[in-house]
Amino acid sequence: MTQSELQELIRTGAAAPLLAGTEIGPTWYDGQWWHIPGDAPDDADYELADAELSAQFDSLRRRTRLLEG
Amino acid sequence: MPRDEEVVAIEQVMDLFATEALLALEKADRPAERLAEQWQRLGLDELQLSDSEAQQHLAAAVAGAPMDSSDLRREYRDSYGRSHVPPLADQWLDESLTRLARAGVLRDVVATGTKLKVSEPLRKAADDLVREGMQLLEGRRFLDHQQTAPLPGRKAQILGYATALTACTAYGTAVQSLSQPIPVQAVLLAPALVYLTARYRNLERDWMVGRHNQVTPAKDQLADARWDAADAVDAAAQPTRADTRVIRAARREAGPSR
Repeated sequence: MTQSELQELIRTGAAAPLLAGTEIGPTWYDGQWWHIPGDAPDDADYELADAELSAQFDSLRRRTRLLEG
Repeated sequence: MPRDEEVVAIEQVMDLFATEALLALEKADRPAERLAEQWQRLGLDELQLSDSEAQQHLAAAVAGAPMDSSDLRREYRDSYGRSHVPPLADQWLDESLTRLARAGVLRDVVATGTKLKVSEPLRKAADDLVREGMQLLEGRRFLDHQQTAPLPGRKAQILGYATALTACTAYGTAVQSLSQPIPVQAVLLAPALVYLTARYRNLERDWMVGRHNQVTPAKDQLADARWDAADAVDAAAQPTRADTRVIRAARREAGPSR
């Protein structure tokens, strides 16, 4: 998925970034985590996070929700 | 900046907030209960603390075994001065722990190795902080040059010091105004601001001691310079508040994040 496609999904509320205020970063969409690896080119597409990384993002999302609450 | 260095820089900011929490704890009402309550509310059990002195002291306090934090207190006051300590200890404790938690989330997201880029309003606010940091560096060089200058240099020196305070105020305002993790750039700038503020304070003290021994400066003139400094801080704070409005407006436009 391209960056512009995912940003449009965020704009419409269909997708949610892990950290509010980030333009590029881990994003929850369609029941899965999407991200761009740190060593990828700046214009790289988003890719699905693997199980291990998804578990880390789940944990971080739980912590951010506590901070928002 | 390599990813590991980003994590280290964020850890330094976490140390700063952990130190603030410890200092606030010394003055808070029912400190043990309040710390436990906030720790649980913020989910800090999931935060992996580093082995730095500040974070380990905080971990000990949470475990009910407070340690002697006098070294941390002295270092903090050398950097910020007594006037920086907020009067409401309970609120300061809550804010410090919240900032520690946010910085911890940011550190752990960075540590996953995923690509991160903050949005335009946040980037602008962070860029402003970086710009002020650069001005600080310029002022620092100017002060080095002015150390032996006669009294007319004093006013510029005070104004330079005001710039340092303003930059720190801007950083604090940015952190407070965002109900989300701190922009990466702002986090990376913070340790530099702490260092530069300490240097400014030393220069200020050296100048005062030197002048006192010479018994030459007119107190009225010194008082004028201090009023100028206060004006400079007030004036320079305006763009910061404008930045905050931009950020809040952007967040309103963006709506709820989920």
